[in-house]
Amino acid sequence: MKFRELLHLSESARDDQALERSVRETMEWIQSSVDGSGLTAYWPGGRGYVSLTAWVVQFLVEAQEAGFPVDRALREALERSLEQALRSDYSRFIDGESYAERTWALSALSSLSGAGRANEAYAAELARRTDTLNQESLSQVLVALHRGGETSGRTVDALTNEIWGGLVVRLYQGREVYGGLQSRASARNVLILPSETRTLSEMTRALVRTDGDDPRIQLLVDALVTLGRGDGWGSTNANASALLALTDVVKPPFEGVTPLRVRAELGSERVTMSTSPEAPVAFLSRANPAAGRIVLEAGGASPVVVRTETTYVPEADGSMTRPESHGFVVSRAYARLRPSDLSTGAPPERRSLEEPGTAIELSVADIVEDHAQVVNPTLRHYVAVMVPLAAGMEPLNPRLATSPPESRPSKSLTLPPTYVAFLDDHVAFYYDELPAGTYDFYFRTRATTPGSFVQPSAFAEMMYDSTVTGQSAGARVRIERTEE
Amino acid sequence: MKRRSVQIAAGAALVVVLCGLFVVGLALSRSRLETPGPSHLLLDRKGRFLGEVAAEDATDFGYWPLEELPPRVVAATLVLEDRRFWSHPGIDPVAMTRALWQNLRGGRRVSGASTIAMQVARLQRPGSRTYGRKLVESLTALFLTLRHGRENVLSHYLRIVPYGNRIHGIAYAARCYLEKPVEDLSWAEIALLTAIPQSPSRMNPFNPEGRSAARERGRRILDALLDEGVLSEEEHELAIRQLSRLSFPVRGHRPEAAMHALLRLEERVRSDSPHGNVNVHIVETTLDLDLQEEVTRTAWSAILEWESEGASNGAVIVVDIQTSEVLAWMGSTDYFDDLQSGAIDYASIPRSSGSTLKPFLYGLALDKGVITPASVLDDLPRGSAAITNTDKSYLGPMLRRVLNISTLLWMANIFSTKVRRKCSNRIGNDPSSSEPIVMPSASRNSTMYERSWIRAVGSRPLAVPASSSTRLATSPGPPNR
Repeated sequence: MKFRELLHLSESARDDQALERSVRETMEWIQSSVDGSGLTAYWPGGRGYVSLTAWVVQFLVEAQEAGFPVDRALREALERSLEQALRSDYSRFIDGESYAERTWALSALSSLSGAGRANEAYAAELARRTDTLNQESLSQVLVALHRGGETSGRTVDALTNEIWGGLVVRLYQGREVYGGLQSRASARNVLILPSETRTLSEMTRALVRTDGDDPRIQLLVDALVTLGRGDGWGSTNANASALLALTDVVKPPFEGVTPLRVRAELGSERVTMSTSPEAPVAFLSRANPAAGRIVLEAGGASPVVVRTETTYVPEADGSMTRPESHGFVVSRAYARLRPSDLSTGAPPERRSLEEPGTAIELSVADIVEDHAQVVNPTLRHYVAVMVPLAAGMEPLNPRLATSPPESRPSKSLTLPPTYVAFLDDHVAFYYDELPAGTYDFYFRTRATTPGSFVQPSAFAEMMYDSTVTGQSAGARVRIERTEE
Repeated sequence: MKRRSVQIAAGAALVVVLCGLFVVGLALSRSRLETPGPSHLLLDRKGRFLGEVAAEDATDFGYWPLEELPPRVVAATLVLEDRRFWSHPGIDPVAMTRALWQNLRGGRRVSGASTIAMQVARLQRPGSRTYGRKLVESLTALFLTLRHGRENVLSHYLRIVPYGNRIHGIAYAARCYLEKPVEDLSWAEIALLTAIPQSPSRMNPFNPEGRSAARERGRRILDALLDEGVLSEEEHELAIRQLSRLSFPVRGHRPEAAMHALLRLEERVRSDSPHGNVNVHIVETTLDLDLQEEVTRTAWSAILEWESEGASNGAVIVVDIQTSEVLAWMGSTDYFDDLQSGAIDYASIPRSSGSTLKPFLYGLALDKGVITPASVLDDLPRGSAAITNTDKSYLGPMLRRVLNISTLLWMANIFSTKVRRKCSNRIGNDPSSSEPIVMPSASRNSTMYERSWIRAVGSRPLAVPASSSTRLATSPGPPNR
């Protein structure tokens, strides 16, 4: 939502359908992930976190402001939980991060219209803890105070100075540039997803409100942009923070933008687009476009930046996917269990699926023991391991009371996951924290439908850093009808 | 004559001495720190208000002890009530002299010159304000300070001082009026709460006039704190602004939908909690108010739907089968409905399970091979002590597969009894089976689940050991999608 706002796209250029779908799916996920204490968990059935609940409430507020329907009961329930979390005797904080989580809760609550006053006292109380709070938390307290009507005064001035004091400024070629943050800038526990980008974003958002005319604001904006890589700021959490901060600062009209008119020629199709200081970006999306070119129709000698993005579907099907490793090494094997094996209890014979397109020959009612292995070289947080199933297979969940004995795999998981989901098309294992090591995942499936089906790659990924992934080879499952 | 005068003087002196000794003795006997036990605040699993449970020796609520003296509350209290608290012995001669002068000059009682210790003495033994009582209170204050020390006297005062609305003590007032622990109070909130005991009924924060009066008084306290150098100008400035905008949560009410649950919880809390322990006054229960209300609504609509069939009341218990925690408990559809005896908790009354369990019994029997669809049901009378069918008639021998489901479920008591006996025999002889046939009554269930009502007490979780019966009633495994 904020990216769309940042680009200032014209109404017609927005891909609202995709956005609406994303927002709707996110809301459904949130709804299913509220724990018994009223906090939002990363996975359904997991432990809820105050910080995550605060981000969720912020998201709901942003979504509502952007015109999306928001479940009011859900929002109010989460707000109530955050109000509880403001108290110093609240007991469900991440160890050692009670202040960080309380200030996230405060910040989220202060963004609600009409809720600011009720929490002003907490804002004032936390403002007294400058020696305890990190720069990120101080920034949130300042924003909360500001939203509560404290736009000036000594407390606001003191907090503003304290936040500026957390910034390291260096002189480069006679010019002040961003040189980093003081050591006590962010939360330390990885479960709260700390990042330099997020701290800087929170500082920017706070200082823009109270000290918007300070020339150092530009330094913060430059630093934020510089910290970004080609595909964002390193994690989706940092991306969201940076975009929120930049949309607070970067607002139209943009001085120095000359109105332009460009023509996109895609084969025989001609599309004319305009940019202006109010809307400096034009957007065009086509399926299967012909080769083309961009022609500047009007606008003089101003520079034009054209960015093209191409998404495509590979020609080969998913069974031919090659294994890849970008931080995780994932492999997959299987063992076919005939009814005779089940009765004798003989150990299943495993076959590795190292080569793409390996065929797995089965008969209807055959039981298969799936084995995925993930090698994780370092401690990581919020990791998902997804093992997709071929369409003709059904997973056997051994934890259901009605499961038959053959649903229990012969070996157990290396580390019990935070949450496991047995779905029709995949089995997913989620970890809040995954230490370095090699992890084995076992579960059983049953062949149900005759035919030839793609078995997609198993993959592991960090939920907040899409660059850290790993996938196994794809395979093909052939299921034959059994003779009656 | 002279001797008589001496005798009179000696008699008078003796009376004075005796009176003095009486007063001293009375004061000495009252120099104990007395308080009712702390009340309990019941919250649902998401921290929402459920109810209050007063201690057995109290009619009001609160009396929460303070683990340590909150310095800012102390500063505000002393600036208002007793500026020389740390230097006088329980009575303040300077204040007394000033009060005496003011009262004489005004011709009426203008100032009481009560110290914190004297107020403790009065709060422990309330009564009319006379000079005689004042004398006893002064001596009691002196002894209280000598005997317990200033800090304990002050802590006790902050525990018993009334804040109106049957609330006593700063810790409970902070929780009830502002929904937060006393340690979290801001200067504005401290000033406002400290103002209330001066006149709890006039400064009731739950009505606009009371709030306004308390704010005005709070402002004066903040000014005094600034004058005393306790507050910096920066803090004073912020507190004054916040005081004018301070809002109060709506007062908590016992939810009608959870009355039976509350009564059971009150009983449990009273019988279980150690008296006077600082950590046990906030009781977080396993109840979920949202679910409780939803259950009540659903039950109501079900009753209405079946009203023409004679249904008029209902009871529901919702339990998390993983943890055995009671999430909702509805003892009757309306606690206050005398016509339906709504005050009776039907969820805890032993009742026959009727035919409810028959489908499970037949399922188990089919699963274990005790019966098959081809089994012959011998629905025949069994003699005088035997169970009969609901309509007192018998269907004779017949095949299971030709019976319709309602006949099987709501009649066929004789057959189901036979099946149950067979199942028990079969499973009892099977060494691989660990599943006894349990036919729980409502009362057994409620007793079992009641063990898991209280989720946490204070800031510590309450360990509830699972009994064998609790394990029997739970199902293994987490929920699955």
